[in-house]
Amino acid sequence: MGLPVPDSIVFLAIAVAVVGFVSLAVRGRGGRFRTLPMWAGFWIGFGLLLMILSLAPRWVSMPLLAAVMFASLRTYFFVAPMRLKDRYSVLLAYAAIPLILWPVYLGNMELFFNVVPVTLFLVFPAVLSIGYDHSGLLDSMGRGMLGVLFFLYCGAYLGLMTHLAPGTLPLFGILVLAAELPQRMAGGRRPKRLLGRLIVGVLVAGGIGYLLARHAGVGDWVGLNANKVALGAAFISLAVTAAHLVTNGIATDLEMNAPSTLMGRGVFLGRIVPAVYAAPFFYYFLILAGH
Amino acid sequence: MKRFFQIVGLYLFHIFFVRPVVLFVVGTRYRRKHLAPRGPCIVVANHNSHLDAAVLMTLFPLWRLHRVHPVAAADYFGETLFMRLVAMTLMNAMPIARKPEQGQDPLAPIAQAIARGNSMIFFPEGSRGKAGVVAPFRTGIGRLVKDCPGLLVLPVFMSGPERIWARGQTVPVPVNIHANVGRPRTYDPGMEARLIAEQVRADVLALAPPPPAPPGRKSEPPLRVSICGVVGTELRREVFMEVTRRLGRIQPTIGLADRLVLRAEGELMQEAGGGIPLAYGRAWPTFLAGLFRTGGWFKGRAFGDMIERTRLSEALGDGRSCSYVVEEGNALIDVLTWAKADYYQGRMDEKEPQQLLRYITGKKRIAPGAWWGFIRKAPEIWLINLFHLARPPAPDLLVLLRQPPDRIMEGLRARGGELRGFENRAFLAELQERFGEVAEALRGRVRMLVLDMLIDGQGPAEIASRVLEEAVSCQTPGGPPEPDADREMVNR
Repeated sequence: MGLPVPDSIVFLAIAVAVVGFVSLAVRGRGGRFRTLPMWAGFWIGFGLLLMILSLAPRWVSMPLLAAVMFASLRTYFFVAPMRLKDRYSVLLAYAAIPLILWPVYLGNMELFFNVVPVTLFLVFPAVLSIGYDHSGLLDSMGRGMLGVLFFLYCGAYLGLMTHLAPGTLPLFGILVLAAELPQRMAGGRRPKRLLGRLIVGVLVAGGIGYLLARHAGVGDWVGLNANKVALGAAFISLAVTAAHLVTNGIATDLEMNAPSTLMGRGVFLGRIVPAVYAAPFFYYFLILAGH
Repeated sequence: MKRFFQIVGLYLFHIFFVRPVVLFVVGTRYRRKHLAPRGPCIVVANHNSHLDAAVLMTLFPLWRLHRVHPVAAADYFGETLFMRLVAMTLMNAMPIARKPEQGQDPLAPIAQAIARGNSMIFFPEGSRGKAGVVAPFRTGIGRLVKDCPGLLVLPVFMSGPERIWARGQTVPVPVNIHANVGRPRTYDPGMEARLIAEQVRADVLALAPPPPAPPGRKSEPPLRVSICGVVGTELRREVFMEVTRRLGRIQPTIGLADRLVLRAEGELMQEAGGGIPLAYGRAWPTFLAGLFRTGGWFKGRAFGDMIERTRLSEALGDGRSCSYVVEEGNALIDVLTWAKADYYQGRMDEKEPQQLLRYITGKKRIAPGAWWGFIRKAPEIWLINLFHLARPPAPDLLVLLRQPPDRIMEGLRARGGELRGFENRAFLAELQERFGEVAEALRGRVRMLVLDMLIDGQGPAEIASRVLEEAVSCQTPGGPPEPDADREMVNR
């Protein structure tokens, strides 16, 4: 395009702008459409994060990713509080951020796949189990594990993608937007409508992915042809549906519907979780696609 | 000179350490921070952590920091040189003796500081206590109020610090803090100190967020009682207060009137600040109302107040905060009635009330071709619809108060001041009639019980008794007698 930034970044910016425009245009229809502009607003920030991760050197982007992980985790632990005695496991979760990001920084997958299970899946439950009073242990452990899974394990994949082709993260952002926008507009997360929503979501996202790859050449950034981009978008759509399912379950359990969400923090989680949840799926897809 | 260096140290400490920690490390979020008074006041809050004073100091603008003093226990914070340096110098704390000597008034320095125009941060619990528990307030705050008549007390409830750095914990663990600021108020210095302390505690507790949801069980939505109709404003307010008070004795109740949110529980009724999980805000609707020149009942600020009240009412729909919601006026009924009396002047066809209902509840958009007509004659409907300002819920029990127009006019004249353009006998009679019609039309669409009462000499207590009877009968298993005709419009 002749701009000083790569095409992938420009396309991501355009995608966020389009989503923002669509959200503003349909906002007046009320109901679920009313929250779309706020979601688009979140994506301005998240899109910027993806751009920085994609462009900036890793010594700049990794601390930023760490800060985002920390802020998200902190918010999560406020919304889904653990037992007061579990404060050291919360501290461990924060301490695990640099531990996990170090192999991500190095791009050492072997180290990453050892650090994560040991730190998060083995040490974390052990710290939770210290002490004598174990009432509510499983509930607390579930809350804690979900938090670290979402924001540390899934979030780390954003960092891992910085080691791939420079266009990977913008492509990921564009495909997540392509998967999420139709799903958010369609609504209907009730169990009865889930299958229909899933099928339609996958088809729409796949279709958008295909069209983008065919006409805008987004697949060239990472060396994927149009069919593979469509498949990737469908894969992300599956992940986004799964993320919505999980966040809805949590929100229902915590009785956090839209107006009663405590200070809007739960809303923030509902926006960031689908975005980070899709990252491991996309990474896995890229490996399957022979990237 | 010593004070100068102390102030420099205080500002450096706050700019480079306290504020970054409070804002970025623990991510403090405030609700209604703007309510902090500009003049001297005393901030009263629950106390569970050493972070509390730091968080409350960020309520004040930076340039006022040297005039804000957290009150600290002299025996604890004066123990070591380091504690003294941090508390008394860097945090600008004012030490008081928790166990004063005979004849010594430990509160005297605080009263003097307030008289000099300083603001204080006071934790009436006396110590950090058990995490998550608000202990009874000591009488010190009551004595302070008695010593300084007219003193503004700013109640604040903080959630989060007890999980970050509770008593007995050595390492702070960052979790978000939520500081809910209440409306500053004064207390009657003639009251007993103990009673003032209890009242202050109730005001702080009223700001607490809704209790956490128990696993696996959903709350029942509250019963919404709206007191509408054209009667003297004072009478309507009195009935509203009485109904709120009486329903509060049965189950937790929240009363919503213009710029007044009441929480009634048991024998206690007070202004509520917490428990309603939605940010307040009337600036934008008020601005729009001014821009598009809404009139009559919805002129300017009144429109903003109505939207805010409606949003609060919407937010209470999940039933976690209360069992009854009592509203003085209902946006849906009021706007529909006004439109019918003013815009259509009784010349509505059968479909029009339904159309308006759909516009107001946001079920349908006003077509651009009809915009000009609405902007000119019923801008309030257009604004609600176009900007999605609120989705007014229909009441479960609509109390329609009527009075002979002459009596209303008498009340209005007795109020003093000039009568507004629409406050004339003919229009008020028209409005009263339209209220009945709107209620009838709505009854066919939503599950709603209408209590039509002609007021002729009855007092608020008598009217409230009748309303109470109906409200209680609505909650019995039989529920309101009308079947819900249109499920789409039901507000549950």
